[in-house]
Amino acid sequence: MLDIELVTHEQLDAEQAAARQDIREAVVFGTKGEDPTVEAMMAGIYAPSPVDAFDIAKGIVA
Amino acid sequence: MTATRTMTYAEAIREAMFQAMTADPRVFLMGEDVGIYGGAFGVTNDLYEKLGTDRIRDTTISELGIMGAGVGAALTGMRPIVEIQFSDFLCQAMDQVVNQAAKLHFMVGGQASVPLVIRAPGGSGTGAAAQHSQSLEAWFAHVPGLKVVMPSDATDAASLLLAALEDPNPVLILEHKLLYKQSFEVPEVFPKALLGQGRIVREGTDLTIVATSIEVQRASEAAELLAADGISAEVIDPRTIKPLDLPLILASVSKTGRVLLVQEAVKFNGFMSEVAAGIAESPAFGDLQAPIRRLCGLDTPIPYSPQLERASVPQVADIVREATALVKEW
Amino acid sequence: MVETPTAAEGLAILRTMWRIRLFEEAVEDLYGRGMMHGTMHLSIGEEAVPTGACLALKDGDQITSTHRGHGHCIAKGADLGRSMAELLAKDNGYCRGRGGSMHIADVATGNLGANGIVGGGLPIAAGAGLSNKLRGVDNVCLCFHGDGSVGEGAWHEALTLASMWDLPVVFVCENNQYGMSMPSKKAFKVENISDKAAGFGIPGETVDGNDVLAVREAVQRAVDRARRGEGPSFIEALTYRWRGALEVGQEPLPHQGRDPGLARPRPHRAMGRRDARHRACHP
Repeated sequence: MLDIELVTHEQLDAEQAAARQDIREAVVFGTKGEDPTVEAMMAGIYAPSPVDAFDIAKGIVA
Repeated sequence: MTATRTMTYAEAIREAMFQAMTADPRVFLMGEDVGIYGGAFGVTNDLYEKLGTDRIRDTTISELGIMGAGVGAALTGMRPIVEIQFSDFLCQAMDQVVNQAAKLHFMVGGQASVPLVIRAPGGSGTGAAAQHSQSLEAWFAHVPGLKVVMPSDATDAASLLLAALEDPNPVLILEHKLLYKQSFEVPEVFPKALLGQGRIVREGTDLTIVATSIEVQRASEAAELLAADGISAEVIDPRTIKPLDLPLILASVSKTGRVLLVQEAVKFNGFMSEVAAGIAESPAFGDLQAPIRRLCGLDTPIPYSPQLERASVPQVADIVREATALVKEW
Repeated sequence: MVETPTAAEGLAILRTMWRIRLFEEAVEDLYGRGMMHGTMHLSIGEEAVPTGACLALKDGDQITSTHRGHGHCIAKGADLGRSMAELLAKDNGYCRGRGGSMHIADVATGNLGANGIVGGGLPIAAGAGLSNKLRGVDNVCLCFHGDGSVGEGAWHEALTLASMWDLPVVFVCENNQYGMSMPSKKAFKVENISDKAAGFGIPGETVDGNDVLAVREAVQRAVDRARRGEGPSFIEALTYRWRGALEVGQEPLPHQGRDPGLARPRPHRAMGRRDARHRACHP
């Protein structure tokens, strides 16, 4: 792209600097996240279903 | 008293598919020879004439490809039904069933779900031998993320299929190939069914027989014979083996104090082992007057010889014999 | 005829490629410091393929990705923070910490997910294409896969169904020259993997996968064809994995010497030997 003068060296460097900042923010966002819970995991194996009798199977519903 | 009509298991499945496809443009079927050939067991029959080749799609012999196409279509807004010609051929599609369909909703943190219905005939009795006659339900029930359905009559075959199509998860329906041509009394309108809700097929007081698929029918016939001999058997059909309606089974076991577990699949590591363990772990165990007994297929590949094939899976006489022993000896 | 990119597109290309490169370098760094665990397959050196390919897509188009999928995810428009959070096994990650590197997905942008099974995404892509066709939308599914998956049955079955039904799918084979330790030149007795497309009666083409504009042009042609309802195409993009892959015993190949244009490549720290960190980072 430099060869066909689509972009300049300056733009290359500017995009690199901007991307570096984006990644820094991404790492901060990620490291600040909560750890997942076992309860949420176990509730996420099946999608909620309108024709599901899981509650019956668990004995929760008579 | 609702009006009834007579139809075969295969006809009920066909009507349920037609009903679903007429009501919901997202539903379509794909599989080997489901079009002009009408399906290996005639289940689709003339559906392609009514619904067109877009909705009733003939595929190449590519179980893995078809299953994956079902997964991809389900992920992106469709409600595919994939027909696998014999449940044994699920082995060819295992990656897409077990590693993809079952796990995608979980793996992507709930961003998407896979409302895929897989229909496949299982069971023995046709002389097709070891690669076309297996009962592999336990494999699939062992995989978190899948639901496994085993309809034992025409009404359930239709109602559970319609329930599966409303479910946002992958549901495997193991039909029984010996049932396809059998006729049943069926209500005018297929009743609503829930996945995970079993059914008391026949009430009784002396023992509970839990059976799946064609063994429900054999257990019911056995119960008739047992009644003539003064033994009152309660027959329970779990209908879906995952999720499992264990409370229904436990209540019955507590009432009768004896339980016979009957399946066509081999005994070792089979579904009924799970039921036995569920009973043993529950307070109902304390109500048992006799040890839990399992009557299952022999631990063998299904053989070709008709005599050997019959001997390999529980028949009516076997159920009568085991039930009688359970009641008389304890 | 595919148009030459505008200056704005050129900048967008740079932005994406830098974001992929620096994302992967950050992952490598976090992994090395013990802040990430599990398995990470880095796409350093392969940035031009997802970047160029995804430029040919529009909203509503889908992709299926691979175990080496961070680049696909970013090129399709995923949020960097949620992607990084997923790799850090956090609840605010795309998959709530359940999927990790090999299962990262962003369904809202049409990224149907990375895949831990080599070849697993191919039939799924055919299904997404079938869905697009049945729903009557003009969207296309782009199926990224590696040369390693060409030996899988799933590859053949997916191409069979896609070609039989003229599905709007573009199969993009990222040929990074190795399926784990198996050189693809040794595995496949054809000059180019794209020669195999002829066996399915669909167009096949090999491009320099380190030339982002060449990738964009080839994929754009294929996407346009798929959108017109003319069926699938197969594109082989020759590239090379610089890191995060099994480097032991690799011989330099023609495409190894070229970086996709971001920077001069760093020397292979683990070239010719295995250190514990690299063994853990790439199975």
